[in-house]
Amino acid sequence: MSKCCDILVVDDQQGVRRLLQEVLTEQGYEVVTAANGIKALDLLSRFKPRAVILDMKMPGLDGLETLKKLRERNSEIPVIMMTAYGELDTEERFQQYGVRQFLVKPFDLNDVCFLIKKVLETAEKPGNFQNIGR
Amino acid sequence: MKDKEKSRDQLWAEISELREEVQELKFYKAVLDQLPVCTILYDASETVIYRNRASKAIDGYEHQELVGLSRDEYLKQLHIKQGKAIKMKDPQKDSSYFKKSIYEMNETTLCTKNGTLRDVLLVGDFIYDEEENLLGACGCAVDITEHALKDNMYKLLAENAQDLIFRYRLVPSFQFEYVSPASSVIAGHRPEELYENAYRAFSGVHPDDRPLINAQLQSPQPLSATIRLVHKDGTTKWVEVKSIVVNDRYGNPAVEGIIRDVSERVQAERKLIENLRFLQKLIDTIPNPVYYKDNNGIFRGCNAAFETDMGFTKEEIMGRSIYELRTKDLADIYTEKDCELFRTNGKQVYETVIPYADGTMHDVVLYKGVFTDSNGGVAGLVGVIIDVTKSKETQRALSESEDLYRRLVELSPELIGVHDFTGEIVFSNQAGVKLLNAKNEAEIIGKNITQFIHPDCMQAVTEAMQKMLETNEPLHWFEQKLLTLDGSPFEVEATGVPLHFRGGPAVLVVARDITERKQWEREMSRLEQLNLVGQMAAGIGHEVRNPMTTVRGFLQMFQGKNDLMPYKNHLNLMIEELDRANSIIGHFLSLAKDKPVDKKVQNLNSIVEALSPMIQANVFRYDMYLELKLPEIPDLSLDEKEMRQLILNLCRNGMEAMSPGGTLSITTYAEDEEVVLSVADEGKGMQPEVMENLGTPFFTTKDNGTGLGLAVCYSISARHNASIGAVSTSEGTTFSVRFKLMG
Repeated sequence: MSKCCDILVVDDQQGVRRLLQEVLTEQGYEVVTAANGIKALDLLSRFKPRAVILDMKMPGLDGLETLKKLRERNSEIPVIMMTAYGELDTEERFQQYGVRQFLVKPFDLNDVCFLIKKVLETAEKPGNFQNIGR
Repeated sequence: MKDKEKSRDQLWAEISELREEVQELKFYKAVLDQLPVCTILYDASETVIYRNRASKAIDGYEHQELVGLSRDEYLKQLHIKQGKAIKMKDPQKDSSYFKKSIYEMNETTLCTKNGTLRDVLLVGDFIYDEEENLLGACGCAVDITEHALKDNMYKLLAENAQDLIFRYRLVPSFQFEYVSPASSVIAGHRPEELYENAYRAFSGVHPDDRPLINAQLQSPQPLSATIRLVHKDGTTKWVEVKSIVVNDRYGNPAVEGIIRDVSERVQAERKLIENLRFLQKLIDTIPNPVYYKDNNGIFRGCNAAFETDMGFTKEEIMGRSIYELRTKDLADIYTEKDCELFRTNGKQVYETVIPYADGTMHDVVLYKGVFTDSNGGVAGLVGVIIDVTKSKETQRALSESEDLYRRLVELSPELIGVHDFTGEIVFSNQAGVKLLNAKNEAEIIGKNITQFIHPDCMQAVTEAMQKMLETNEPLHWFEQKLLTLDGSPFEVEATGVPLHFRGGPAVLVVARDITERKQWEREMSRLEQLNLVGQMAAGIGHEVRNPMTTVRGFLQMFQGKNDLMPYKNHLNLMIEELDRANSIIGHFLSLAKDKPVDKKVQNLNSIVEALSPMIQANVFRYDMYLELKLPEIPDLSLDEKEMRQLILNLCRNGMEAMSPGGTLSITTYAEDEEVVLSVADEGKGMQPEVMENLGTPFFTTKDNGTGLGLAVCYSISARHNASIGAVSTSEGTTFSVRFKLMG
């Protein structure tokens, strides 16, 4: 696991941010967190993370809008969406912005680690972006 | 010289002379006896010496009875009186050639032997010899009884006639010979005035008519004319003059005639003409065609509307029969009808078709009547044509409209009925019959509406009806419960409208069955509640799941810490409990209306079959039986996960309702355009209040129930455009989920 991999975690819930930060740091990733979409976009330009874990429901700029703006700046970055609904109605909307991976709260930590590893590996094969599977 | 002195020859000569005279006398006597005129001879002493045969024929006396009487005795015997002298003047022979230019005649009477009176004309004269010595006298009598009778009669007639009867002659001058007394009235001149001056008669002739009369004086002709006479009193009279030209006994023309006052007649005629003009104007003003025919079927007139509408001028139809105006087919029909009318001698009204001037056939009603002459005989007929084409059309439209409304009423899905003010039903449409569960309307008509009103609503309905009858205003739609003929309740929304029906006050009732709508409303309300719960769950779920994520996450982290190994089981339990709490949240979320479904076309039977081992296991555990009836059914668009939940929830409810030994039946079948999934138990059934609340979230009859099982089923079925129905009896309950095939 390369320590140079930066992961941006975006969630308005402090507990979730801290959990993911600790879990992923323990896994050897360098993690940056943001409590809202605007801050996330700011950090995105400064830290150039290799992957983003983005919560769907946030006050202000919500997950979808943040994703849109993110794609406007860096279209290649892999994004994992988090949702508490357990409903997949939004799946298609996110898919058109290149999101293939979802975490349903409350999630299993093994799933998180598995997904992160998977998206980073896939992203490192250039031109294979479109083929990211679930 | 004495006879003795006469010679024998002389004497013979005298004798033969006498003999000749006697012979001559005998001859004259024979002539006299042959004369038809009664002739009497007197001698110089006025003694009757001879009566001819004609005398006896007139007076009936034998000769010996009268011969020898003196003239006075004779006149006395025959009751002959000095009569009226008639002077006869012969104008032509009025000359000095005759000593007497005036003949005198006596018109008198004589009494015959058997006592009858006879009119006679007497004329007589003295007889002289050559030396003017009086020899005797001769009297002649002509029986003019017959003539006198006639003459008197004519005179009587003439004298008393209202008409002026006259005779005048023109030669040698214009002079009246006779004028009847009516001249005073008609011409204003007494007869004497006219005898005196005949020209007076013409002074009163109206100037316009004078030429005619003047011509008549110049050269008399037979005349028949109506002229105007100006009476002496200034009034103008219309008189009719009829005269003929006759010749008097001398061959001179004379004029005999009669003048009649026809003023009244002329006035009547004028009035008649005026009346006729008025009548013609009148019938011309009538907008309907009017015509009249004589009793031979010949047209005698028509009005202006007839000319316009039928396209014939008055001149074209006058004097013609219908056969000259119409085709034979039509004319035959009209003629037959006319004849029928003449036979019945009354009036006739019938509908027929008549070609109009524009060539179109019009529906008409013909009103015909006969008119009679002064003797009461049929003189002809009058016809009036009334065009009913438009009213026929109106009638047709009206009948169509009526038909439409009748259909609307009959085909209306809503009950439409009428009851009188006592509540007796007098009309119901088919929907009403069906709604009240009757076989036909006869089962309803005549019954009282109170029989069909649910006791719960009786008071409200009675009050509403009363208010309506007082205010005469329609009722607003209001919900009420009714009873069918067999007493089953059902819900309707009804209105009442006061109206007059068959001559009395009545109420028109319109009611629509809202049982289904009520159910639907309940369903909607339930789904609304479900949706609300779902919405709440979605909101709460997010808020709860975030902290759960943190807790679960760290618990999972702790599992991996060696320091916490002794608590590994506790940590596992904590995570499991969190997962269970999360699944409850998941249930709530699935109630939300907008929950996405993952529908795929598949067969319901295969889902049931896949689930059956699991259900079977549960059924066995409680000592119950499972029966599956899965005939071939069409595929549906279904979310498999949701279907599993639906079936399991219904099965769990069924099992919980039953005691051991009961059978749970799962059946699928296709019906109409639907696929039905039914789950039946053999439990005790549900109370009505439970039925009312089926599917309401958190409503439960179980001690440890959540009240969400059926609520989720309703929610799922709603997302599949399906409906859930329940039938419950004391022997069990069946839930049926109906999926629409073309949903």
